[in-house]
Amino acid sequence: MSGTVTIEVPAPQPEIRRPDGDPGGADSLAQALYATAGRYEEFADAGEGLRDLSGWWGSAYTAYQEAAGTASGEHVSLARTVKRVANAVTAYADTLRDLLRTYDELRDRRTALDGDRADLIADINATTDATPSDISALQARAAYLAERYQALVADHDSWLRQVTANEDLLRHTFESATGLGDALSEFGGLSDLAQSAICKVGSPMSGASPEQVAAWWEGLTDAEREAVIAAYPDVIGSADGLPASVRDDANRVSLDGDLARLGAKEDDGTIDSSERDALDNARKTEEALADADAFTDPITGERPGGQLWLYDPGAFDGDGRVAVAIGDLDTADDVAVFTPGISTDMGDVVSYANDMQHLYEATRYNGDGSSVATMFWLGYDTPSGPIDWATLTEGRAEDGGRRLADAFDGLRASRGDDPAHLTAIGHSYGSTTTSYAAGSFDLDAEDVVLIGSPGAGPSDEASDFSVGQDHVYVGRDSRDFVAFLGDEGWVGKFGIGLGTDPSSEDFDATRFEAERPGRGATPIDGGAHSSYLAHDSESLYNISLIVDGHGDQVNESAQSYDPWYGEPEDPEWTRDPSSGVPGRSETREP
Amino acid sequence: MSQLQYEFGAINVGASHWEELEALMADAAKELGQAPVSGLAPGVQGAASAFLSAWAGFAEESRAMANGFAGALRAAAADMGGTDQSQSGQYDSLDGRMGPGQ
Repeated sequence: MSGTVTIEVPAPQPEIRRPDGDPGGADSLAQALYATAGRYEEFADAGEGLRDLSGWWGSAYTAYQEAAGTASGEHVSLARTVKRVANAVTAYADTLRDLLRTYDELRDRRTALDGDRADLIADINATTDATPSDISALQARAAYLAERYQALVADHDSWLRQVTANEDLLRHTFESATGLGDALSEFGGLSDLAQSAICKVGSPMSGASPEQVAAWWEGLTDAEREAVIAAYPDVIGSADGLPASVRDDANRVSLDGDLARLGAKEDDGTIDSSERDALDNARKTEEALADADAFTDPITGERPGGQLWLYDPGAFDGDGRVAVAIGDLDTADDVAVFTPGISTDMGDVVSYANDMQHLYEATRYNGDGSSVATMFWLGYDTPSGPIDWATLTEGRAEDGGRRLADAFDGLRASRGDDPAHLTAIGHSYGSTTTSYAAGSFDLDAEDVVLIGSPGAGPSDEASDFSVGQDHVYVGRDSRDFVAFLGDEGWVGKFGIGLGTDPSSEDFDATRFEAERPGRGATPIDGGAHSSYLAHDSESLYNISLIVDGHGDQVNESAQSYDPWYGEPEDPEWTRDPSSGVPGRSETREP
Repeated sequence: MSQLQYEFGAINVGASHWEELEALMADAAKELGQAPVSGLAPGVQGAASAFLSAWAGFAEESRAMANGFAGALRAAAADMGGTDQSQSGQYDSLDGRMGPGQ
């Protein structure tokens, strides 16, 4: 049989052009604008201070004061406006980086498709005396190729719209701040798109619930989303209910801005002490985030990435608020949130973020293959030290517990129909904070872990916790002097602790093995209190099982107790600890 | 009539601080004038250039404003000093003594 058969080979498409612009160059412009913002701030602050020239009275002085006050006020507005524009340029650069990555992916896909197309044409040309089966196979390949080209075209169109939206947003932002009236306006530097989006129902500036905020975000267009991140990074970066990736984008804009603006003030010699604290906090956060971004998953060898979930370097009189995660909080099957104790401030973020890497590694190493994210959360004002009055009371823990419960509500709402298994881990005073969250503020977690606890705050029994008694776990090293403080028995510890010892029989949680190798001979073994997340420790091994959703598999230890005839006793005191033992304390590849 | 009091030290220190702000805003005006827009897409560069040009002008205004404050304070101090000096001559010519000593 002879004849002609037509096989329609799709045309190569689309034409993919690299987007204009250079993120590094845009960052340089942002730096210059942040420096300008810092100078206007200095003018405003100094102008206000210079209104008061002590020792000068009279009509001329009154007129001078009025003029200086007006100048100061106008420069406050100018500083705010130029800072907003700088934020917009930073956001533009960040988005452009993402768009360039997508450009590379699109181009690779096009190259691969063109290769398949060339192979198909070669095979068609080489075919003689084709059977119906040969023809059918070639037609199927052509159809499949056309389908993939069409998908590429659709993705390219979507990407192109984002490129255009990114450029439009920045142009509109510049235009909204160029006239003097705009520059001095309350809304200077805010694009119309951002202003309209932030005024919609459910916006985080309206006091909406996390669920309402999540719904508000879902209702925004891509362009509106980019606009509000650029215009309101402080608001978006701390809005419970928004996806973690969005908060991360916004907080990185704020972080870059603080590093540039405060760094310029440092160079100008105009930085004050509170700004110095904020700059130090920003630099520590930058370091922690760089470590998190560079971290490699021990199983896949890939980088799960870091996320800056909370960033407020000036909060709590300069102690700061921050939350850094290892992994993707938006998609991880298992999410752990670690709350620290006394003396912790933003300067400690590097060390604690490193601990979160340990927890991530251990959970993956001993886990069931589920994906993981671990977050250091410093969202409350910790007492400043052992002799701080706040350490001896529970006010900070109660306030922190409320904030922690809110944070969990935000995480929960941001995951919508894809809920994660959430574990709250509290260390030291942070365990009391976590106890308040679970005991008084209905913490929406699956599991709670208390380690090195000086007391469980408002709860006398594990069954008081929102997660239920079976999901409350306690790690206590028998040499940990802080964990020794919790009340046991009917006499208690004369009020020096912060509630019931959660490792005790009275509290009745699941206590797991947590003895430190090389432990000392006395309870005053400082290393014990700070080693619960050390690699190849019993404690980290057991915590990783709980985070992975397998708390029923922890290696349990006997609870402490307080006999009527003597001192409280801890059965773990005489047990030999293990280290790096499979199934007991091995947390990474030997 | 209002109450008057001057302390030259405070006024001169204030003037010096305004002069520091003048220098700071001069730097701002200069750097805004030189800020690069080449990292932006061509479609954005025009708006960016217009913005930078306007803000370099604002910074120059701020510089001039600080200069005005500093100058006014220095002038006030100078005026008061001059007035005080001339008034002192008049008071020097007064004689408060009684009798032969006059």
